[in-house]
Amino acid sequence: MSDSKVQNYEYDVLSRINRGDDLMHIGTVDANSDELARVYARYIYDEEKWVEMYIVKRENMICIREVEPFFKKRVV
Amino acid sequence: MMNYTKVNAELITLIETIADNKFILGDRLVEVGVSGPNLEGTLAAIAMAQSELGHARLLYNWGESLKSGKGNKKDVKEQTGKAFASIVQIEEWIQLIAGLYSMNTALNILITALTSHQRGSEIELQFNKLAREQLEHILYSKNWALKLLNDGGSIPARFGRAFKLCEQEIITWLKQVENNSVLIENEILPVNSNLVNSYKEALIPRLRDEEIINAR
Repeated sequence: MSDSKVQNYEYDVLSRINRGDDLMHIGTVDANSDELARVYARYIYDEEKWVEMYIVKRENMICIREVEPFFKKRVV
Repeated sequence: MMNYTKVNAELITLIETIADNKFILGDRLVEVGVSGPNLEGTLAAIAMAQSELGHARLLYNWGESLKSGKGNKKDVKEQTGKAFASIVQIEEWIQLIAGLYSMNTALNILITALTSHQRGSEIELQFNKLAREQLEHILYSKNWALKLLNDGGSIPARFGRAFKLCEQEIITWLKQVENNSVLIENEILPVNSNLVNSYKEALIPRLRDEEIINAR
């Protein structure tokens, strides 16, 4: 049983504990479909009674500024 | 009075059959689910086990209150003997997904038929939260079923065979329920509930692919 034939995507999980709280990034899940990612997030991150919870496919996030590597490759 | 007792007995049998299968599924989700193929699948299986065991407890308590007329909350340590052999015999991940998918899909069809016919009744009240949570269990098992059917080697065929084994028992049971004259005459179930057909239509079409099931 391997994931080799099925492509997995990374999803970020965001949630809010109480109304008015900041939306927090609480973790990530790997899944091959939105449906499965939704169930994973709901059942894995169940330590709080969240009032709101979202999942975002990592590839749908738009990067504004990227972390620079510590050591840049020297071009000869 | 006689009729009332007969209806209650049939309803209790139905409730206990659902509860027993959920009780065993909860147990298997912990025992087998803990060695799932990936971290997310495993963690979700363990969390889902609590939910299945919770459903079983709720149904056992309801069955007890129907028997005794009061809300007894006794500790449940074992099933009443109505769980299906294919569910009791789950020993590995492929069988677990097959059992979870076939059983929860069938229960969803049955509960929808019961609650839509009994709006605002005790039956709808008892099944309401359970039915909502069960939809997530179906999403989980359906997506895992798709994953196994798209996997390589002998896995799709093994899954197909495990599923067929569960399905045979489930269809036999659904046939008995949809033809149960006591439940129909007392308007607990609609006359033409078509449980078996609805169940077959709700499944992933690929599970009807003979090539997958019969592959070695």
